[in-house]
Parts: sequence; C-alpha cells; structure tokens
Amino acid sequence: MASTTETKQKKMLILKSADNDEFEIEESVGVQSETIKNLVEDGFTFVPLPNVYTKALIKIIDYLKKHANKTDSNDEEIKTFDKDFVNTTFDDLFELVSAANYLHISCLMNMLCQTIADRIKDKSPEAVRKIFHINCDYTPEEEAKIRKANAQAFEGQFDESLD
Amino acid sequence: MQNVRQNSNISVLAEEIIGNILLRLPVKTLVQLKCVCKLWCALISTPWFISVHLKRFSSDPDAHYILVQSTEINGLIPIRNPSCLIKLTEPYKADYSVVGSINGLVCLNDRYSKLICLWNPSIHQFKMLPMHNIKLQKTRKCYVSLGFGYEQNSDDYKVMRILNYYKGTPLNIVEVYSTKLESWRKVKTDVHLNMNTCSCDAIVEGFTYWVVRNTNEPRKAVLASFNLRSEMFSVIPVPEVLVTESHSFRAINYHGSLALLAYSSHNEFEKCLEIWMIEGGSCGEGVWQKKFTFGMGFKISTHWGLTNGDIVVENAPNTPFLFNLRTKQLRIMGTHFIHSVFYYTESLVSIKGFKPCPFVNEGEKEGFNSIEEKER
Repeated sequence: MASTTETKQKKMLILKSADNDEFEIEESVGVQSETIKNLVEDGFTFVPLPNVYTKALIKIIDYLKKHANKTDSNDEEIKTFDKDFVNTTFDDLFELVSAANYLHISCLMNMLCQTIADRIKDKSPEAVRKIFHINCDYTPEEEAKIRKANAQAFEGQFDESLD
Repeated sequence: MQNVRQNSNISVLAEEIIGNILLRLPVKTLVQLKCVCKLWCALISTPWFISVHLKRFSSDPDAHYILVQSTEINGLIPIRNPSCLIKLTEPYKADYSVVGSINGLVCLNDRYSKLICLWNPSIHQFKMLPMHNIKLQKTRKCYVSLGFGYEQNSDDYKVMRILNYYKGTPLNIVEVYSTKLESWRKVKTDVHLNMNTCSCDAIVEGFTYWVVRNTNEPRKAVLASFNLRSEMFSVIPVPEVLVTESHSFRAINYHGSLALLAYSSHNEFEKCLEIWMIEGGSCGEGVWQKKFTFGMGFKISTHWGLTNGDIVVENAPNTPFLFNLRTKQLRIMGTHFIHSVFYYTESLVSIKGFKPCPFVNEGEKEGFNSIEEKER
C-alpha cells in the first residue's frame, strides 16, 4: 500500500456534540456526512455539532465507521448491523433522524425514515399523535368533520400500540 | 436551523423530516393521518406532496391495481395478489362505465354519455362535471365518444367528448373539459372518423388514444389521437399487417409509451403476442416498429395489456388470468366475466370541486340520481 494513502487515512477530525463531548474520528469516516465534508473541504478539523447530542452522536459514529468499511464480502454483516441499529424506541429514532438530517447522511436518513414509516403504517391517528408527541390542534367538531369526510379510510382495525 | 427542540427530553421533528417519513406511507394511511393535527393535514394536502408521492409510488407494485368491470362486480385487483378482489364503493348508484384512468383518477360516465364524473377511489372523493355545451341535433343519429387524459405542463386533467353524426357533415365535433378551468370548450378539428366508444384505449402522459374500427371495413382500423397540450385531434394509421383478420390488437400504455399489443393466430403452432411501438415521436410522424415478440405457448381468446408489461388474458371463456410476458408467470384472477380492464395506480390526486363520496347506504339520497335532477 502506498504511503500517501496511509497518511491520508490517518487524517483525524474532532466532532463536538451539543453537550460538549468531543469525539476523534478518521476524516474518511466523517466525510460520509455532507455537512462534515463541506467543513473539511473548507479546512476545518474541529467540527462543533450544536444540534447533535452525545447519545445520538455515539450511535451515528458507529454507523459511519461500519459503513466506511463496506466491501462486497461484508454485505450481510452490515445488513445485520443496520437491523440492530433501528431496533430501538421511537424517541431514539427521532433523535437519530434529526441528527442524520442535520449531518446530511442520506443513506442513514433513508433507512430511518423508512423504518419510522413502516412502524406507523397501521397505527391509529391517536397512537401516532402520542408517538410523535403532537397535541391535536383541531376542535372536536373539526376533527369529526375530517373523519366524516374520509370515513371510508377509517374502516378496519388499527394498531393502537405505541412501540 | 434547529432540527430538534429539546422539550423535557422529547424531540419534536422538523417539518421536512415529517414530510420525508409521510411520503413513504400508502394513501389509506395518509388519509387517516390527516386528522393527527392541522400541520400534517396541510402537508399531506399540498400539491408538492401529492405529486412527489405519486412519483414515488408509481414504481411501487403495492400501489398498482387492475380496475375491472365485469358483469358481476366492478372492483380493484391488486397486481401483487391478483386472486383478491376489492369491491369499490362507487360514488353513485347507477349504471356506469369507466372512460379511463390515470394518476389514480378514474373518469366514469353513465350509459347515455350524458353525465360524467371524475373519481379518486383511494381518497373516496368525486366530482360531477357540469353538463357539456354542445347539444345533439335530435333529428339525426349521432354517436358520442369519450376520453380522459392528463397534461403535465398545465397539471390539467381533461375529458374529451367527440361527436359524430351517423351520416354527412359536419366533421367530428370535439369539446374538452378542463379541470383547471372547470368548463367545457369546443376544439377545432378537421377530422372525420366514425367512432363510437365510451372509453379510451390508451392514456399516455399528454395523449389519449382510441382504436377506431369501421365495422364494415375492418381493414380501415386506425388510431384516433388527442394531444392534450395542443388540443389537436388527429388520426394515426395502424401497421397494415395488424389489420388483417388473423390479428387482434389493442392500443395500450406500455411502460409510459403508446404501444399496440397484437395477438397473431395465423399460425396454429406459433401463438404469439407482439408489441409494436412508434419510433420517433408519438404524434404520427414516426414509423411503427415491431419491438418484441413473446411466444405464448397457448391460445387466447381475449387479451388486455397493462402498463407494467403484464397482460390479462382468457384462453377459455370467463377464466381470466394475469400473465407476465417475460417471466411467463401465470396467476389466476379473483373475478370472471370481465368486459373491460383498466390500469389503476392509487394516489392522493385531488381536483377542484372534489367532495366526499356518499356512504353506500346514503347513496340514493345524495348520489347520481339527485344530481341528474339538478342538472336538468
């Protein structure tokens, strides 16, 4: 292996979370995030991330490390990793999806949005409200009107669980 | 930009992320989720959301159906699971037939081609079109043909009404209803075709086509074409070889382009389906080319082509099945006695003046008949 490649791989970045924890990662791992890549191209090696908290950042760094080493042979291993990665609570998924959006990591964004969509697909509007911590801003009359106008969509069984 | 508002450890997602999640959900779920809150309802109802959702699901087999009209029932058959038949809650109780379907909208008309309705079965909304302008001359026999289509540039769904008197002049009289302008307008034409069809054969983005057969002279079959952008009505000749008696053909939307699906039975041992397409333009200036030939291995009595490349065929009376030309996979369909087949993709598409379909048990109260009275 050429020595220039090795020096390149050794280039390090420091990411600083919203709760002021610092993480050192290889530049080649970090640049999978468009946000970090743009900063690196502008010459930054210290990247403050005021919108990403430590808990989410640790998981995202794990994800980036795993995906930076993607080869043809570890496809199955990455699939298993991804499956475990999204096997968590809705609140954790929301933290992660917000962080992935801020960091502009499109493959992670896709995976998280698809996971959330798949998990709310059969849920009732009430369950979805609770899961997303949304206060209903309709008056009871307004909500009844919307339900009536779309009554046929409300036929059948709903999944009322919150996980 | 703040993506997450920390509120006692509860994160509130930014609107763009909510949009990204909701775009992945099927129509039925989205209609339900409109009552989560005002923001979600507004987001799901924006033209941007509706068009991105349509594009995304246009490649998702789960959103594709066959809309069948049979003597028993009119319903949707999921392409994924063709043995299943979903009964449709029709917007009104009357004898109607399907004119055509595109982007999740279905155009219906009553038996006498007087009352026309646009309907989105997935969001259970419909609109009765106002009465057309051109009245028939009562003393002369006149045929009325109908078509439906979509023009992307103006994002306009249009219904075409083509009149032709049985004998003599005038030429075809064409009037067009625009869902954007919400009115009928007469269109100039110098075409004279004897057509009499209450449904169109192929709807491709920007164009609608009808196969016009002269019952006395089958060799004179042609395609009538309507360009929804220029509103030009014109005639496209059909390859000479296809209008012979040993061929039966249909005009179809084949993966987004106009094609002729022809079945040739002239050779007892080589039953095959051919796909013909126009090379170099869809307005008639190009040349028909035989693009594919698929050996069937069995004889068919009727066939309908679908946009995704599947075909609906019958080789014995009243036992239709779905057949994939490439994989040769054969699947039984959950219906019999089909008399027409349309390709249907579910969507959130809505047009000006849409209102909820009445409930089945309220159908007679608010449905077709009462509207008919008002129009008179």
